[in-house]
Amino acid sequence: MQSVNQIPANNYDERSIVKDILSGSEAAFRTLIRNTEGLVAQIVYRMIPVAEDRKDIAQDIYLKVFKNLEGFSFNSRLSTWIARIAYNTCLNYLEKNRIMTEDSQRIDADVGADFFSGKAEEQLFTKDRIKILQAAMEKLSPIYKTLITLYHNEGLNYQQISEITGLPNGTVKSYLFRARQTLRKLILQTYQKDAL
Amino acid sequence: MITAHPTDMILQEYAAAYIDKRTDVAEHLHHCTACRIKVSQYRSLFETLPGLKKPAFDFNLADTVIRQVAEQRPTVSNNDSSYYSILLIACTCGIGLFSFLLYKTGPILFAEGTLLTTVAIATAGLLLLSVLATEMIKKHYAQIKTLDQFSHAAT
Repeated sequence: MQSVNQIPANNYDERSIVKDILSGSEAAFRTLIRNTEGLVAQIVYRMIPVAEDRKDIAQDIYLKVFKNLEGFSFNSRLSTWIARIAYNTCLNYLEKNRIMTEDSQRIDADVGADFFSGKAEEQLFTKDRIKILQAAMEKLSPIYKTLITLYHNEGLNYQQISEITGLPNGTVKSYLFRARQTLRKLILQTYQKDAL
Repeated sequence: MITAHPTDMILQEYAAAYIDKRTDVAEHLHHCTACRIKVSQYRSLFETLPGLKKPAFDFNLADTVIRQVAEQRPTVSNNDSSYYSILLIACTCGIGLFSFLLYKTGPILFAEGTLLTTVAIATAGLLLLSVLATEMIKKHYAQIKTLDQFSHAAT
């Protein structure tokens, strides 16, 4: 049996690791999980609002990976393929549990730039930026959260996100635009509320 | 110079530096405080988003998944060779009986049948069955071996 350390954590050939897993190497499968679980966690945490269900979903994702690995055709990166399985599994969960996947946090009021003035505006994006942003992100719909995370946090491009979500490039771009727009407005609304 | 305000999408692209800074948008921003603030806010968003804390599973995902893979192994035990012994004995008895009957009835069924013909047919059948049984056993043990590796690691 191969030990985990025999396979470099971040530098392995995809064909080799798939071959090793299919020939029964537990170490190879363990390495694959460890190298991709960060990306999978991003998708699962952004899309699944119920914390208790995340563990089962994460396991389900990798069981699907194991079962379907033989059919992986190397047309995309292995991590992209796994992310796609993760995305579809989460999407099925959302549909099954009837959790809204559209923009559920529409902003009615158009809080224009004239709302800001001098010091207040500076504070908005300088003080506790991350904290404010994190709170606003939680209010976004699961799909928007996922797209924003994949693009800005994971550094994936439109094409890669398109492969993961199965959405056309243009749709990904358009959704991302709307997600950022909503995010900006949510931050402004929160700030407005706090200021009052 | 753009007289109307550029769309939010254009402002986002400008903030992300996807479009050339020396465009009409830049000129518009020079005169329009509202759009300038929007661009500034989007820029702040783009700068802050990569800094969001990345979530991580609070349990050992690899161990859990590998344990589950091991649990999905077939019900036939690795050490259960009696199943194959019975199958082999049954095949041998069947072939023996078939050979005996063929020997007794062969001359009647085939007018020119001899003991040699009967033995040749029986041998061919036996060989065919042996090859099929061997392949089946090999395939099964290969599958068991794969699952055992996961099972061993998980326990």
